Amino acid sequence: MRAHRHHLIIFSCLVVLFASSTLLYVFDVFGPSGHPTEQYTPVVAAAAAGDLATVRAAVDEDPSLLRVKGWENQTLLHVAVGQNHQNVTAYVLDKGADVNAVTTEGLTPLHMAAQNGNIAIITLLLEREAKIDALDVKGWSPLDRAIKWEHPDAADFLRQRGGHPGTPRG
Amino acid sequence: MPVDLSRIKTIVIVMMENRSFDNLLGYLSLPPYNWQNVKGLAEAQEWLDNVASIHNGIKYRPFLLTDPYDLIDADPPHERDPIALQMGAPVNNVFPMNGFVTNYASAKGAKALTATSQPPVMGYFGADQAPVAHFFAENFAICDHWFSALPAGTQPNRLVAMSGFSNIDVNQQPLPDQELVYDWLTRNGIRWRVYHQGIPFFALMPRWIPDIVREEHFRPLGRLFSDVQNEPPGERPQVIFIEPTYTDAPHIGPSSDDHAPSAIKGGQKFLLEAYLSMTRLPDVWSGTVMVVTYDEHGGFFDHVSPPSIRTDPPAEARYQRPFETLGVRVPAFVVSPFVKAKTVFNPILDHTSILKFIGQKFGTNGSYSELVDRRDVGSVSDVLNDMDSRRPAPAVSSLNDYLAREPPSAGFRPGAVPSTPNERAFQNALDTIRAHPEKPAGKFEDLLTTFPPGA
Repeated sequence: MRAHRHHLIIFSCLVVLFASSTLLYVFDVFGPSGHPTEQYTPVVAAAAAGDLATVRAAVDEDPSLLRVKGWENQTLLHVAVGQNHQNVTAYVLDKGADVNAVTTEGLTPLHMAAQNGNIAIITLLLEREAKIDALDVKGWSPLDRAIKWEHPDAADFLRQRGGHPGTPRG
Repeated sequence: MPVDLSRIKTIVIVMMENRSFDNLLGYLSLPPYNWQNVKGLAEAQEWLDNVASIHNGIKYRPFLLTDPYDLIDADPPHERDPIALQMGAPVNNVFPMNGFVTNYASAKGAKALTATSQPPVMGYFGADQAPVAHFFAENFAICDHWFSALPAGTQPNRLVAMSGFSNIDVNQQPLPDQELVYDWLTRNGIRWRVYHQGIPFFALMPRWIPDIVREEHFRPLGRLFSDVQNEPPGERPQVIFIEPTYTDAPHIGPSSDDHAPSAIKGGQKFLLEAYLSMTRLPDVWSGTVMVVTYDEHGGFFDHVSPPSIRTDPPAEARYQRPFETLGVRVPAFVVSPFVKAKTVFNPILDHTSILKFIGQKFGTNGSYSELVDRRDVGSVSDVLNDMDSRRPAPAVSSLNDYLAREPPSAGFRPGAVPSTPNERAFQNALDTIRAHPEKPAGKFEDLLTTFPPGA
C-alpha cells in the first residue's frame, strides 16, 4: 500500500514535470501569443530600429526581456544584430544577453553578423566569447554564412580568428 | 529606362482584394496630413456634394469608418455590369462616379437606406484604422493613379495581372487555362515562388495543382520569414508572389485579403507579416522592390474617373465587347529602399505595370510581351526614384495594441455553403487538392479536415 502510494507520487511528479516541460516548449516555440506579428513587441521594434534609449529603458525595467524568445525564437540580441545595430548589440551584451542563444533555425547572433558581413559586430560578439564554429540546422558555421552571402572580408576575418567551415547536413 | 535595374534582386508582388484608392488612402489629403500632391479626399462641403453617390434622390457623402474590426454588412456587386452602374453614364468620356450606393443597395444583406444612412461603400479609413498602409505611405511610395486593369471583377483583373490579358470578362469556373508570367519566368530561368497564407489563387487553374502540393514553387506564408534569412543568393527566389487568405476561399479565422465583408484589420496584419519577413535580412531588403496593390475596388467609392484606355478582347476571349476604360482606382504601394519616403507617384499605372517591370528586369529584350508593351500605362520602374541611398529598412512600430483584437471571421467559413462563382471555384480547388495522388507537404491539412468535399 505504502509502496503504491510512493509510486503514485513519483508518477504524479513525472506527469507534472512532463506537462510543464511541454508547456514551456510550446511557449518557447510559439512565444507568448499566437501569431508572429504579435511577437513584434515594443522592445523588439525598438531593437529593430536601433532605438537604444527605448531598449535601455525597457531592459532596465525588466531584465528578463533579454531572455524572451520571439519569432523563430529570436532574442533581442538576434534582432539588433540582424539589423546591424551595434549600439543596441553592445548594450544588451553588457546587460548579460546570451551571446550564444539559438533561433529555431539554429542561428547564433554570430551567424547573423557573419551573414550581414558586419565585422564590427562580429568583433563585439567574439569578445564576448561567441562560439566561432557554432553550427545552425543546416550545418553551416558563421564562416559558411559569410562566404555564401558573399562577404569575403568578413570571411577572411573569421578565418583569421580561427573560424572553420561547418558540416552541411542534408 | 531611366533607372539601373541591376541592383534589384527580388521583386515581390502582393495583390489584395477589393478596396478603392479613396477607401484606403484618400485620407492622406485631409488634416492632419494635408498631403498636397495626392489626389485624395477634401473636406469642403461643395466637394463632398460633388463626389456623393445619389440614390433615390438622396446624396450619400464620404465619411470616416472608425472601426477596423467591423465587418461590412454586405459584399457589393462588383462584376462588369455592376461596375458600369457604379461609374454612371459618361459625359465626354468622364464618368460621374456616383452610382456606388445604388449598387450597394442591391447587395444581398445590405441595410435599408434612409436619408441619414452611412452606406459602407462611401466610407474611408484613416491612419488609425490602417496603420500598416500608413507606415508604407510615410516611408515609401504610393501611386495615386493606379487603376485596376479592367472595370470587371476579381478573376479578369487577376488574370491580367498574371498574364497581361484575360480571356474572360466575368468571374467563372474553372478559369481558362492561360499562360501566366510564372510560365514565362520558368522559361527564362528565373527563380520564383508563391507564399500563400491560405489556398492560392493559382488553385483555380487545375493545371497548377501538382505544383501547389509540392514545395518548390508554393510554400505557406509562415515559411517566408525563415526562407529570407536562410536561402543564399543564387538560390533564393527572384520573384515572390505573396497571397493573403481569401475571403471567398475556405478558411479558418479572419481572412486577410480585405475583401468585403472582411474587416480591414486582417489585411493590415498580413501586410505587416510580409514586411517584417522581407526586411529580416538587410542583404535581401537592399535589393527588394515590393509592390502592394488591390485587384479591383470591390464596389467601394472612388471619385476619379478611369482613363479611356481600351482593352480589346484577346483572340481566345470568351467575350466580345471591348472595355473602353481601365477599372476603378485602387490603392498601390511600392515598398523598397529604391524609393524616397513619402513619394506620391501621379502618372497612370495598372496591373500590367508589374509585368512591364518584370519584363524590363528579366526579359531578353526588356519586354514581357508585345501586348503589355503596347498598353499605354507606365511601369513600376518609373516609381523608383532613389537607386543610390542604400537606406536600411525603416522599423515599423509595434502594433500589438492594434493586433490584440481579432475581427469576426467572414466569407467562406467552416460550415458555410459556397454560393458565389468564386466560392464554388475555391471549393472545387480544395477538392482537386484533396483528390490529388500526392499529399501536400504540411499544407492545407486543417482546411482539408475542416471543409468537407463539395456537392
